[in-house]
Amino acid sequence: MEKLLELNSIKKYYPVVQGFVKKKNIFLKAVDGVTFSIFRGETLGLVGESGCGKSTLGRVILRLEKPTSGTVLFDGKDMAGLSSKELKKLRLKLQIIFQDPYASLNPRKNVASIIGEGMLIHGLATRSDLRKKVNMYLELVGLDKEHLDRYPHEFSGGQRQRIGIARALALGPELIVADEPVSSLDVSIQSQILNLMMDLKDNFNLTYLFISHDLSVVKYICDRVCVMYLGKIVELSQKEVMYDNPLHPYTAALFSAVPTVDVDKRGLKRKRIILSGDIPSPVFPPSGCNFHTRCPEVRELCKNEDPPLEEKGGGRLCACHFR
Amino acid sequence: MKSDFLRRFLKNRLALSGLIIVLFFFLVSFFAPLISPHDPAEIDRDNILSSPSWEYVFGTDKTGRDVFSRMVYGSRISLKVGFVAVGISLIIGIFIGAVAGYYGGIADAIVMRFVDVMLCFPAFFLILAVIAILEPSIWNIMIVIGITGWMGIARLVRAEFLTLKERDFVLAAKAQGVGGMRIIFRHILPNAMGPILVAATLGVAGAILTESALSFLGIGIQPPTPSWGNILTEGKDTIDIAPWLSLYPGLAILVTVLGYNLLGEGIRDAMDPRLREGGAEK
Repeated sequence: MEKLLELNSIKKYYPVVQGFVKKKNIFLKAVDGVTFSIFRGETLGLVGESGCGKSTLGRVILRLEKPTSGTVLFDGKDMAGLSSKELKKLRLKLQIIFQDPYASLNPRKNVASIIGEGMLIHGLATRSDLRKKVNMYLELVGLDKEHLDRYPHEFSGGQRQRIGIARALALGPELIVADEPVSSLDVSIQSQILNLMMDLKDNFNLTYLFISHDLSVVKYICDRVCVMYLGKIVELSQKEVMYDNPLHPYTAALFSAVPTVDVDKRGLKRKRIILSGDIPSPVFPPSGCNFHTRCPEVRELCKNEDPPLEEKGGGRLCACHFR
Repeated sequence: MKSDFLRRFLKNRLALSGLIIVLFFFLVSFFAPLISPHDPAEIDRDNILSSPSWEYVFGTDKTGRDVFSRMVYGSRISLKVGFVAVGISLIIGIFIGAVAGYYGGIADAIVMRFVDVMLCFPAFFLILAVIAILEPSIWNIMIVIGITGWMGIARLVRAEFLTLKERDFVLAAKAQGVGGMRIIFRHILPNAMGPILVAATLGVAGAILTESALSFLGIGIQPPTPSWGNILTEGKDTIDIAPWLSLYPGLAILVTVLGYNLLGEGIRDAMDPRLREGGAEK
């Protein structure tokens, strides 16, 4: 399969500012050495707890943030080496859908200009045929032309999210980073939006990076799943494999926390693995394996040595010494 | 959203009276030739320092000119100075604040230190010094008041931009490839207009007051052009025998400044009730 996006040991550190003097060498390690690829046409799920760096990674991919180090290759081209003109052109192929549909639409602009601005800037539409084209995208996402002149506050959350999707779609992107696109919606609306996204994917040959903390949503929509913990990838594999048999202790704990109606043969519910403690501070991550402070199977080696992300057979990648 | 604003604004009686005062002086200055019974420069030698009467409602000054007519024309000066000076402040303040807030980093540090330096000068004495060097024409006065009054607006705009630039809709615009200047002026600025409008309204009051003070000191609007400040200063020499000469322009300045302040605060309260301090029902 063709690699559409390739991340090579991406790091994003934010300097920690104390008072008004910048203290040297203290950084918040939001993303700490992430390497993976997204293949054309797939939906890759990126899951993890709040604060594990998944949104930051999404923003780095869109170059809304510059990575501290590492390279992002889109279609084989290094994004760091692009001139601002080339970057602007690349933005056509790389779009984002945000989590909060109430914050992601400019309250002072009407729908026609929210969706149409990008098309105008990139010359995909002229002033005269703009409304027609915007209307086309509105219909694609299940709204219609009477909504053109309305303002965001006149819409419900689900409708706003549709507008956000239409905005991303209007530029004709190849990859869409969906940053928790349904987590602020009602459950009934969630499935509508997910189905819309899957339809659009088929019709427009889209590739999704689907960032979420909701494992059932990820199971529904994704092909492969990537689990992050404290700025690092702990496990990456095909969805079916991972949901059947999570390898990494963190993944196992995460998946055991999904509410379920399944019972096993003996009529007992799956055993819940309960992690102790909180996610450590990304400013002072633990030594060795990031997860060793909470791992139920921690051993001496884990405290000293950081396990690399390795192939564990069957195309599964996992970062653990003992799996 | 808009109807909420109007409802809250109309419920606030003080804000409403501020609006009425402001509108009143607008009308007065617009229809000055129709309202004033005499030419402001017309001298009536038989009625020097006459007290208020039907012929001269606010009395006459020491050269026999009608104080009422002079004040009506003086309101034009006050309005002009207020709005042009604040307009200049707004242009400078918005541009500087927006660039500092949006781009951040070194640009922000340099620009905001410059703002701090400007704030260190006592503005009024700076204006005095500049006017003393230049000739005190109305344009010089407006420009000088304008370029010494933008710092507050710059700080306000910067603060608004710092919060707004992190919002998702700004990130979305960036991701769409919208350029920096377009994001600043088309996406962020319209969302920051509320607090700027309030600051501008309060700024008009300040500018009118400054102009009056300059004219009172004799380095503002020069006679024979009437302004509330120079009518007041002419009146102070004869305050013991003709107090109306000082009383009326003083009242006019007071009421106008009060009107703009009430209007500004009213807009602020109506825009966001949470900003209302103390929550007192006025």
